[in-house]
Amino acid sequence: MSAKAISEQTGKEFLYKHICTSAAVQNRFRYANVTSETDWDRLTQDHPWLLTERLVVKPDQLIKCRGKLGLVGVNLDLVGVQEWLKPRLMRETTVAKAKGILKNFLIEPFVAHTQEEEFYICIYATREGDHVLFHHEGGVDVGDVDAKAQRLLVGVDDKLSEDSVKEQLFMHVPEDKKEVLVSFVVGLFNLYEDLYFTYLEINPLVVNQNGVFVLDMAAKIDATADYICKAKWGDVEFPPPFGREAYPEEAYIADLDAKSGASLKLTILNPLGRIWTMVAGGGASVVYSDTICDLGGVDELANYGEYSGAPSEQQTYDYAKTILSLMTREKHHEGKVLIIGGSIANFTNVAATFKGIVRAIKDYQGPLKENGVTIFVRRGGPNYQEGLRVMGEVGKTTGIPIYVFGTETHMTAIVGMALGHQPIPNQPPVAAHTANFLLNSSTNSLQKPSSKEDPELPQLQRISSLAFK
Amino acid sequence: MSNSRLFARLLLQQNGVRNCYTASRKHLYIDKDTKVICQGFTGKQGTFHSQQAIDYGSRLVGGVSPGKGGRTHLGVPVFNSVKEAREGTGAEATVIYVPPPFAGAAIMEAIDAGMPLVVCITEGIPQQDMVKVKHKLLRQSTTRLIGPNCPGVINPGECKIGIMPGHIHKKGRIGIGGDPFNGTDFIDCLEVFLQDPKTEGIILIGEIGGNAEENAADYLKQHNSGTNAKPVVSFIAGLTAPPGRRMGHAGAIIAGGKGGAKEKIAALQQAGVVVSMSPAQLGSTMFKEFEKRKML
Repeated sequence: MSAKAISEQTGKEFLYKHICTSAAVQNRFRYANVTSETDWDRLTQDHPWLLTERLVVKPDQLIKCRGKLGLVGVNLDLVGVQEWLKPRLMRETTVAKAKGILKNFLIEPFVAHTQEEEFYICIYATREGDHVLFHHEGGVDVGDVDAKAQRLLVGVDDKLSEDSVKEQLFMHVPEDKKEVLVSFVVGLFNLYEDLYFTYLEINPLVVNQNGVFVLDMAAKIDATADYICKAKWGDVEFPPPFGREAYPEEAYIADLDAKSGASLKLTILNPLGRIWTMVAGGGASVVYSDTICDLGGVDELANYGEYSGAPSEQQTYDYAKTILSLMTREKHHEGKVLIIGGSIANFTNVAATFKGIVRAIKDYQGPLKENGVTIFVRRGGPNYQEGLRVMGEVGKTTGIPIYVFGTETHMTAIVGMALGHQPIPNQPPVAAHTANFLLNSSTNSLQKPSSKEDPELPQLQRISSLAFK
Repeated sequence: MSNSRLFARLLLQQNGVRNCYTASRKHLYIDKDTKVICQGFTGKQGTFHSQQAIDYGSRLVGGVSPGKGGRTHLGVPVFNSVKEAREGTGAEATVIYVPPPFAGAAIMEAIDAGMPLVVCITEGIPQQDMVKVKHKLLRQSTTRLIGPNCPGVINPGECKIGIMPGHIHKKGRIGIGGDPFNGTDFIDCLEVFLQDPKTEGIILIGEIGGNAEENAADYLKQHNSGTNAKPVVSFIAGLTAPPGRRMGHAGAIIAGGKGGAKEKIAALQQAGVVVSMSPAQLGSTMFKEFEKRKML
């Protein structure tokens, strides 16, 4: 599973489209997205209410507590909104410790309301079921919700009943608002379940004589449910956390990932960094990142990512070329390093994946040499000797320094070498035995261990064709 | 119902059902006689890994592929359902290589058929599916689930259920999986290992996210102290991951002071666990522990 945050706009879009409730939900679809590319004439054509209503404007970039940070413009007309945006749009801001550019804003109608009309609601998932939190005093100063709110647990396979909502959550809600709110809360819960939300928070939720107003929303959905919810979600975007850019290369890899049973992940941390990684496996990739940071490389660590689950040669090529392209955009005076690391593959054919990487290295040999890139390789797994062999060869034929190690070397030893903390030993000879099977007949030479003497190794078998159905 | 009564009922419920499911821990122990079937048998992954298992020496006695019952695949019978497979072969364990849309249902089917051990390899099962599976799992005591999103379990030289390469294993190992809603956690494994006379030392590998390692530390404090305590060595990955960053298996995020590597390491150390700062040193660290206790 992978619970990912969605923007306020996306969350509201889902709500307005799909919620089933008798409560009068107001201002449906009344939100206007603003970036530095916005054509204001077009915007007011698409959203004529911008010209007639008082407005609220705020950034929609997964930033918490915008009110307290002075990032909400309230009760303005359209000119006022544009004035408010001038010093903020495309400006760098620091939120907590993250520095980022404010570039995506949302304009909505201003809803005048009193404190008594503000409520807080949050639904989130845990092992036991879904928790519904409700507080009759919502708003910017809601404070410690965990301590103050009324709480109701909807167990697995249970439904949320109107009665339990009234009894357990609405102790402090005035009578005249109970019916409207209860219908809304039940409708919201059903929406939460149907669209596979894992977190849904509305603060404040305003309820007055005109109906229900969703003034703010923070939400997360379970990305692995895409195949179930595609029709309702559409092409949903998952924005990066504030302070991190979304790169087209990341979207490209995410797309490759979605289309495959294999796993391909890439996050760009510092595009100008000189330490790049291409590590196999979720576990190993975390360990390599740890080691790089342990050895003082945290500021130069350019990316985090992994590839695993037996991607094909082509997929690995596409992954590798993306990284090689990114790392050869801007020169670094100390040159750069690429760490192609991993532990012992469970079942990924290392010869196949490495051939994909080698093909990419050949295609990028010019830029790699211009950028002073040194490559360090460490890997084990099915057919790894063949993989290491082709790596060593491409180093010789292109003139790019490539140091190649197998399972005789500790997984993260190449990090020390890459960072200059350790001398690079002589390349070890290729080990005498491999995993006990050959996948594709990618090589003609058969490496046979003396399996009779070694009780650890089962009999070597050749699988030349498997019956796939 | 008042809040405190509700809380008390929840606590009782949790403790009550916990005892129920914990009875199935013994099924974690596999050996050369364990009969295994494969769900998703005739698919690409099922076929490939089943052949590996057969080559390793695991007792694969059949498989399940709805609609293909009656055929033979890799030399063993194919059945239409887990129930039929269990009746036809007496299998005690099943391994699931079924894609995410159907994996949750596959686990449910295995539980319904009373399968003692279920190993689910699949990655990417929606959370809601696993919450339902976990809910069912906790209310029974026959079936033990390992996974999902795990490499499996192996008893070297005897039985291998999963995708791990067999030839590299010399000591017992279980990979329990990276997902937040999984069937077997550290405590389940620790109980089996602490009570198993053949297990001399335990290596626990953890990762950022969640609080499974902290719970394991609590368990060890209570059950593995004193003169008969077995040496436990651990490695926690993700020490340098800052809060809010998504990393590792299943995109673990450190949030709100919980789930960070430093906290896990501290908790484990307080329970007498020796924490190694590098996976490369796990072996030598365990060796030193054996030396200290004169176990060599």
